[in-house]
This record gives sequence, C-alpha cells and structure tokens, in this order.
Amino acid sequence: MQEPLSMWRVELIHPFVIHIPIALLIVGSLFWIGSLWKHKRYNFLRPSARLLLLIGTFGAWIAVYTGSLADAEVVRTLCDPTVVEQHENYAYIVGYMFSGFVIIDWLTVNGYMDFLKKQFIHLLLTLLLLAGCSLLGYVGHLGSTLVYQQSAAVYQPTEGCVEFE
Amino acid sequence: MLVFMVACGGESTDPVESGTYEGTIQEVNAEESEIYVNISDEQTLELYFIDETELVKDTTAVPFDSLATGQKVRVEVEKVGQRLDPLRVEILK
Repeated sequence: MQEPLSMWRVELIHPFVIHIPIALLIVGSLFWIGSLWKHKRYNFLRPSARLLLLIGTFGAWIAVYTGSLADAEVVRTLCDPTVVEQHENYAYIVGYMFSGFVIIDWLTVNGYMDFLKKQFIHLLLTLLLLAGCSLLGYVGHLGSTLVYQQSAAVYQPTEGCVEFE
Repeated sequence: MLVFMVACGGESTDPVESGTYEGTIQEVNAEESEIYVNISDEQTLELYFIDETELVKDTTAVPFDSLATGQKVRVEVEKVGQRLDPLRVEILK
C-alpha cells in the first residue's frame, strides 16, 4: 500500500525554521522602537530588543539557506516559479536590512558612530526596522502564496485517501 | 533596493511562449540540473531539466556535465503556467 510522503523531507525544513526569526524580528523591532520613548521607565526594552534582533537576524539567514534547499526540491512542480525568485530576492534584502541594523547598532553602542547625531542614527535604525518588517511581511505573503496557491512542498493525497486507511 | 538585489545576486528571468529558442548559456547549476540561457540582451531563460529533457550534441545524447558556460544552445521549451519545461536542449558549439 502507498504511504504518504515522510514529514522529514528537506523542503520541509524551511517552514519549520522560518517562523522563529519572523516572530523575533517583529517583536525585537517593536521593543527597540518602544525603547525610544520608554527607555528610562522600561530599561529592559533596548537590551531585549538587541538580543531578539541579533538572534532573529541569524535565524533569517538560516531561513534563506533552508529556502534555497527547498527551492531546488519544489521548483519543477510550481506553475509560476517567478514567485520563488521574488520570494528569494526579497528575503535576501530583508536579511541585509536586519544585518545592517545589527551592525550599525553595534557600531553606535561601541562609539564608532559618535561623529553622527544620536537622533539621526535612531531615525536611520527605526526606518531600517520599519522597512525590514514591512518587507518581511511581503516575503511571508509570497511564501504563503507558494504553499496555498501552488501547493509548494504539499503532498497531494490519492483519490479516496487510501494511503491513510 | 536595486543595489541590494544586485549585491545578493538575485536572478531575474523571463517566461516566454512554448517554442524553440537559440542562445548562450550564462550559468550551469549542476546540483539542481539547471541552466540559464540568454536568448537576447534582455531575456534570460531559467530551465530546470525534467525527466523528459533530451540533451544532445550532433544528434547524440550527452550527459548534463557536457554543458558549460558560454556554449551556444538551441532549446525547445514548453510553457506550463509560467514554468518553462525544457523538452530538448541541443549543444550547437
């Protein structure tokens, strides 16, 4: 009797991995932006944000890597592979944006950006986070269209579902 | 954003209608049995070999590792949705 495909397929590592950085990057961004107003009252916000964004950025690059593994497996089954290209290209941009944030923030904390006004750096970092989160949402949307419109990496049960009997 | 796209090596490819095209191989990805073929200055085809893909040189079947960047090829593709399935790839020189 036919068995349903294993859940331990290389293309399924990507959906397993991606949700953690998405959550960390969004919550980290909210904490960091919130700390601009409430840093003195809630002094845990900024260090928490830095930790979340650092781990989230690292996770984002893991997501990009696992995405390329999944791409190789499923691209031949898609009706519109150009969506994968967009998904991948924008994911790289998200990775670069949050990496840029982490690097600039680290340089600022260590005094390498003292030649610039603090307000300017905060504005720059806030814009990076807002743009990064917006694009992250779009990348997620593209990923979901691959799954829900094109059945990327989705097993199609046989007629009558005999393999589940 | 364009700078980011270029920096990350993002590929942009073009779906075309089913038919036969001649061009130059821009890139060969042996791991994924995939080639990029420039058919004009503005158009690049991204072709993932499928089980039915026939690869020939001088009418003789040849293995995938016969492909190399810069080779002239003639490709017969079938458009399925927005996907291009290569049915036949002929190495010209």
